Amino acid sequence: MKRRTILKILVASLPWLKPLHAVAAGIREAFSASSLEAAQAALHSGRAQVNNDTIVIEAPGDTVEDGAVVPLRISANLPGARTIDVFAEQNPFPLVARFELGPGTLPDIETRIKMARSAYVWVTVETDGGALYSNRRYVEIVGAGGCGTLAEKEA
Amino acid sequence: MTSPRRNGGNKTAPILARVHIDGDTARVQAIIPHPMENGGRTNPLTGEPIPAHFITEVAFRKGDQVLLRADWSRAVSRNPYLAFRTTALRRGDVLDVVWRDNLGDNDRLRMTVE
Repeated sequence: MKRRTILKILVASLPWLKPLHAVAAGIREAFSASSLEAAQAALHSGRAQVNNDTIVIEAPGDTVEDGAVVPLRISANLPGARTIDVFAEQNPFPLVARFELGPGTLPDIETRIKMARSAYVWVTVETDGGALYSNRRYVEIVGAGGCGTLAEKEA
Repeated sequence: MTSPRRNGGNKTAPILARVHIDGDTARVQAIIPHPMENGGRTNPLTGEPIPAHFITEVAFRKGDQVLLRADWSRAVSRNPYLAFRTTALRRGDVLDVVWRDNLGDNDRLRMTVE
């Protein structure tokens, strides 16, 4: 218990988890937003986003059996990419994750997300110059939605 | 060197991470055992609601240098898997992985890239 407490204090005091980029005072607001538009507004203040086909959103095939585990690989050919935002448009809270890339880290990330129902997955990439690019991919969930009963409860 | 730590009563298993070096690029893969409860489920035995319990922040570092940092919602899948590629890791570098969740639990892993 003592060791646990000490470690907690140690980890909390290290700057490891502090944001790299002076973004998102709006990050909490973005995560609690209940629409894609509101989440985007909280993160990016409504700045224009240019569709960019080098942003590739790979999902296994056209359909996913289990919405609780939707494997995604997200990559982009955008030099200077520094943040990657991932949204599931029909989730109760569409913003799923925000990634900040350090120097030398490539815009090529794999993760697994929960999707309440079939929807577009949207990805927004911001580059060092402050430009915003986005793309989307429709992912069809044929089995159970992945948020337990959350979607129904919060619908 | 690894220093996995089990979270007190949380029964969370240690972070698993590995690095594969291919030329000048390193591929980092990690699995973080964590329930990632979204707060919307109920315990089928008791009918009690299961409180939200999910990782909110995770970071991969080499010394003072952040390789990747992420903010997560409750919609990242249970036992999160994360992989990325970076040109900033070499054999012999020490990689730190650290996470924190919405209940204040946290864990870290330190490993040397081989």
